[in-house]
Amino acid sequence: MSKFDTNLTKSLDQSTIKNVESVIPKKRQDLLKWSGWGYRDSKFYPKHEEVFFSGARYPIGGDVKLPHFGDWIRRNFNLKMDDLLSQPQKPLEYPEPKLDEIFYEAIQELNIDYSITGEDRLVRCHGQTLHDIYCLRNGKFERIPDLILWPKSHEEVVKIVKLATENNICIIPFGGGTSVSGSITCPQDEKRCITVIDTTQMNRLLWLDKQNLVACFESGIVGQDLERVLQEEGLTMGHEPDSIEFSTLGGWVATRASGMKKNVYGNIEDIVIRVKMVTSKGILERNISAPRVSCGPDFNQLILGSEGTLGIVTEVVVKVRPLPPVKKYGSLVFPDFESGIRCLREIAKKRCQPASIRLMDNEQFVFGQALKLDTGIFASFVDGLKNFLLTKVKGYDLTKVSVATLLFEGDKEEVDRQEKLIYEIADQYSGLKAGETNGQKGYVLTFVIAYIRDLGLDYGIVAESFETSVPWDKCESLCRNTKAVVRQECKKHGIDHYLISCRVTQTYDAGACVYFYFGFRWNTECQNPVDLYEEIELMARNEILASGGSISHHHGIGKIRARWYKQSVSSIGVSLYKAAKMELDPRNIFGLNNLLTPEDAIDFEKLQSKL
Amino acid sequence: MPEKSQQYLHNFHNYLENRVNLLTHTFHPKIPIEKVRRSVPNDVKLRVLQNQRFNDYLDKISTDKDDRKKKVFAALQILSEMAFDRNMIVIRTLGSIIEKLMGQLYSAVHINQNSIKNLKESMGNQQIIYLPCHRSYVDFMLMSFICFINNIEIPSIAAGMDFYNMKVLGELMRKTGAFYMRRTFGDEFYWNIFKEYMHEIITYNDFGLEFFVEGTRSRTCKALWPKLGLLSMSLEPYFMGEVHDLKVVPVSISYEKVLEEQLFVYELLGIPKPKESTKGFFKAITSLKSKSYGNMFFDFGEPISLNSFYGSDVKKFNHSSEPAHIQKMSADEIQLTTDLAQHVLKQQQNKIVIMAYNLIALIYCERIHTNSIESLTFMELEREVLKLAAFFEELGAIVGFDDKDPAKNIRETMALHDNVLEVTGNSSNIQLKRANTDSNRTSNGNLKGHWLCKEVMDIVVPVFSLQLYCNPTIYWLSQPALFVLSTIGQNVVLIDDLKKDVLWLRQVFIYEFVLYPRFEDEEFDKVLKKLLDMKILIQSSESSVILNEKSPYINLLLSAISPFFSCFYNTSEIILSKFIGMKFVDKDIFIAVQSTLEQELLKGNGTIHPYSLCLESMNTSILSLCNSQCLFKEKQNCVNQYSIDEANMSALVNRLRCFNSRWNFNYKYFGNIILSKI
Ligand SMILES: Cc1cc2nc3c(=O)[nH]c(=O)nc-3n(C[C@H](O)[C@H](O)[C@H](O)COP(=O)(O)OP(=O)(O)OC[C@H]3O[C@@H](n4cnc5c(N)ncnc54)[C@H](O)[C@@H]3O)c2cc1C
Repeated sequence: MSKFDTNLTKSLDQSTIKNVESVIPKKRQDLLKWSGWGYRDSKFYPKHEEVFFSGARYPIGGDVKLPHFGDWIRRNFNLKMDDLLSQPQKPLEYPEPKLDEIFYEAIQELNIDYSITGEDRLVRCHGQTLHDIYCLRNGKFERIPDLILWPKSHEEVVKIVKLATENNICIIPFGGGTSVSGSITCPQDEKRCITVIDTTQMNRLLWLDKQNLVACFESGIVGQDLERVLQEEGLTMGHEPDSIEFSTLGGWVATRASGMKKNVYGNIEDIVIRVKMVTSKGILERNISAPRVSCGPDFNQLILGSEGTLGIVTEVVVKVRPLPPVKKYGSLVFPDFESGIRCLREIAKKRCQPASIRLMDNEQFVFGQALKLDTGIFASFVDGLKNFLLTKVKGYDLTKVSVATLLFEGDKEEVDRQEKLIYEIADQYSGLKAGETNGQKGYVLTFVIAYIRDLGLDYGIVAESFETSVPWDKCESLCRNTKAVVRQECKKHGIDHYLISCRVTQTYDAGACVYFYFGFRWNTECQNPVDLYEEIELMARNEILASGGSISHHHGIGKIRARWYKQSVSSIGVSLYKAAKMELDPRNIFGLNNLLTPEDAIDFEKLQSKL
Repeated sequence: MPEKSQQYLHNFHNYLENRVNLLTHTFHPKIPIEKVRRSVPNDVKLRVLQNQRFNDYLDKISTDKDDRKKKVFAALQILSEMAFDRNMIVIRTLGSIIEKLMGQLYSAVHINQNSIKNLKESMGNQQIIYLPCHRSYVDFMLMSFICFINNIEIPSIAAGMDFYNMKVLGELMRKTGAFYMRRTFGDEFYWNIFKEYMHEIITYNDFGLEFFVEGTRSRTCKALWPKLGLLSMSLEPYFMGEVHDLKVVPVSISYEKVLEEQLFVYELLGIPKPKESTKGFFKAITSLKSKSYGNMFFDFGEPISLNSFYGSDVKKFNHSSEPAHIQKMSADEIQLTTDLAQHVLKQQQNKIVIMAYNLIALIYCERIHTNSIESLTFMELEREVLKLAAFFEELGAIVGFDDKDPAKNIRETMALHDNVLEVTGNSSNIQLKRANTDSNRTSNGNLKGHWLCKEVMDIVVPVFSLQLYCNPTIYWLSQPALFVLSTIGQNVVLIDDLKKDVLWLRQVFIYEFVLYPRFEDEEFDKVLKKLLDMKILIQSSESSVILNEKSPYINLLLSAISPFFSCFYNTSEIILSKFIGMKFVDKDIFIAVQSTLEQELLKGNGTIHPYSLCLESMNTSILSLCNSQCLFKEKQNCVNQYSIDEANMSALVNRLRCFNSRWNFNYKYFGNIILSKI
């Protein structure tokens, strides 16, 4: 076996290391749902034909009634609140762990934290795709990881990876498990011992360099912990994916994540300066911290988006920024989605995007109204004077309007200037200023919306979001076409009750990121609603690609989008990825099998016999 | 004077023959590292407070904003205590006083002009660290003085708090570039500030830096095992890639007579030195007899560029990918720092000028050793001195004495040291001069060891004084002596066996003679070759040697190390006989050894060299015993506590006994004169 390359050894001053107490416990199921999204105490639940939201974690309040949501559900899905399906039950038995004796003993000898309990293994066998959650709720996972490890440092990871390589163990790097591409889902046909490396106990701030505004974190740090630690120092990284509460820095790197405020802080690839990745051959790392380098192809880019298949990211050096003194929300209302898009395009052209700008179509606007409360900032948009303005004075049609929410960050003058400019541009596209609270509401609801799917599943509604990126000129048509295809498919499959909506969540010089939300209620005779869902999503994705959109803006390929990988990167591109995989991981230790379809997969047995 | 030395010393000019008026001297110094803007002493201080690492540290230890403010204030106070300053008027005034004093104290101040030229030519592109050997307080003043008169920027000098505590002088010295370092350990806050201050001195300041790698004045006038603290702080920015190179300049200063001679002797015996006070200092200096300190030699060694010294051993790239302030030096780099320190020490030693009195002291001791002191007349001494000078020159030393009129030179130097040896009788015999120590010395609690009686003191004081002049030569003699010790009384010795013995003895005397293990192979080969060349050893076959019993140097070499051997051997034996199964501290050892040996000396026991009473040698012995795991050391409330590993210790003592039995040491002479007094 070839030598493991340790790269340069570093001698860090141990006293600069800051331990971080994570909000998420090591035994994640103590705090998080085993069968769905988020915190156990936070969920939507029905009571007397009304919908409530439990727990007091989010700004909408604790055990709060959503007086309009029940109605909306009834209207759109033709259900009664007591049509509840049976609740998922935790399995009573778990598959026996398939352990490799030598490896298992060596791990114990190294004193690395581990677990082989069924529950610990089950909660780490999946991500958050509809498929994953449906399988989980219905006890359909046959293969779950055999062994869970919690290394505490890069050095421990190196030891594990070396051992795994020697003993031909399959390794799955696991961060927050929020993947929505199937990338983290346990490969069901893996015969070897499957070992999950849970990175979350490796979450220290190794150092902070306030002069250059860079910080080095261990990869397992969870988003909200990372931001909390930095904000205590008056800093922020500004990377805020909607999953920030649970996803990890390593996961972001491995999936090429994108955060809401990328306009100010950049996407993960703009934020990351250096990454350390432990592969089965050794450590891959660019040994330069300089802000930009020209030194051949950038291997950071090989690590970014590698989805756990080439190695495990252990340490990441990122850019940080001083906390902005001013944070301000805003909103705009447009007569229709199309004029909204044109306005966003113009804003992008002038390069004056605020930290975040999002544009909702009418369905989402209406849905947002359904989540209104009667008081506080969550009171309805169209109440009172604005109602009057919208419907009467300007003649806006509430069944057509589209709403953009804005988030400004910076110092006061900068924010003022941006606001002024944006409202000027909006004016040209009939965009009407619709107030700060409406903007704020949009962002605050972000985290709560993720809980709705579990409620849906309780009622036989399957739902998921999928996203794409698209050049500006094709943006409108892509949205239109995709929705049309979904409607058509629903019709074909006899689905009467569904929702398809979209929004633009990011803008760039050359295009935008578009999110689709699609959910339907399945009728009782449908054997496998998830298969059906995936079939429709497939048609939708084909349409997206045909309309000039991409395979993914930030969710990644994983397993569920592998079939479009080749057409996205060319055959030579696939060969190049495979060459990298064979070079870095000739025994497929990192055996998640993402990115490649089974047809394109590397025959590792053959490769081994050749070596 | 031997030829090579003569050539070398030719470059030395006696400053006193061509004096400078320091008040009017124009000072346009060469700067170690020329930058766009000259550095400002006050900024060195302020930069510490802006330093990122220090700010991170403050953040870490502060409970809140107010607390942080308090800590910043505390830091500023510490910095004010620490920081050096620069005031030309003070430099000129203090310089003039020193200049006058030098004129009074010394008959000649020889300065190597060539080395100054050399140094100045190498200046301008990297910060310089001057590392003088440290034998006297005079070293402090001398460096600055010589820089000043030669138009070299006066370096900032790391000084101990004892100077700081001399009120006026402390402040004056600060204005000439002294910065103060506490000798406290474990005060993290203080040391973090000090470390950053050093960091700024290296990376920002352009004055050059001076400190003593030996850490303190060597009371024995032998080299001390180098301390790494300041040096690694200085080198850190280099390893971190913050400076492209550093220049290290060893400085050798040799004194014919050390100002602190008697103070040192008392300190070595454990009788503490009086606290430095400004008044005391001036009083001491002004009460000195004119020209009573003879010659002094000052020499800058060849500047060592770290880049070329380390070559490819340093992977500067190792640290470049992370910010410097969050990294530590690696174990390798600490090793490299030690290598440098040891190398510098050797460079210092190589350039120490061996003077007539050093040779006289050695000859006297050899005569004691061979029990032939009675036959040592002045005439004989003169012949011996000339022979020995040649011997040292062959070893590689620089020997400095006036060979046009050796007799005059010897007479003069004997006169300088008439407190130690005297010439008596018709046949001009050389005799040790018994001291007349104060029998009413208070046995106050400050005593570091045992209270020694007057009978012993009166002899021991001149013996120690004499030893102080043997000691500067030990650098040249110790290693050959270990070879002799390993071969004497043996027949043919296999070189491999010889090496085993020599390396073992090196271990034993590792601290006493500063025998750095990483040099052992190279030095073994070199010394072996030299001894063969000098016919002290004879090659009997390709793989074996035999000691040339006829070599005139055998007794000289053995007698040179015998005081140290005696001290180590006796200390180990006494520890083994008294402390088995006990926990004990340094002072317990000092008292046990001194009191036991005092009794033996009073009995006239001729196997004990009086120098065995030397606390400094006991110290190095204890360190060595810990190093070879005969003793275990643990820190208890900042005090070292020891316990014995009996097996290791007995084995060591047995092996030493075996070496001891190979030669017949005899110091009866000393015993006899002590007895004669009683
Ligand atoms: C409600 C919700 C909202 C979301 N919003 C966003 C969003 O706004 N923007 C966005 O970009 N994504 C979003 N996502 C997707 C998901 O959060 C991201 O893909 C995220 O980066 C995954 O991080 P994780 O720590 O949960 O990784 P995991 O799900 O644990 O793993 C994802 C992939 O990364 C690999 N991986 C994880 N850690 C490492 C490591 N240390 N080294 C090597 N490989 C590793 C895994 O093997 C796997 O292939 C969302 C998901 C959900 C469920």
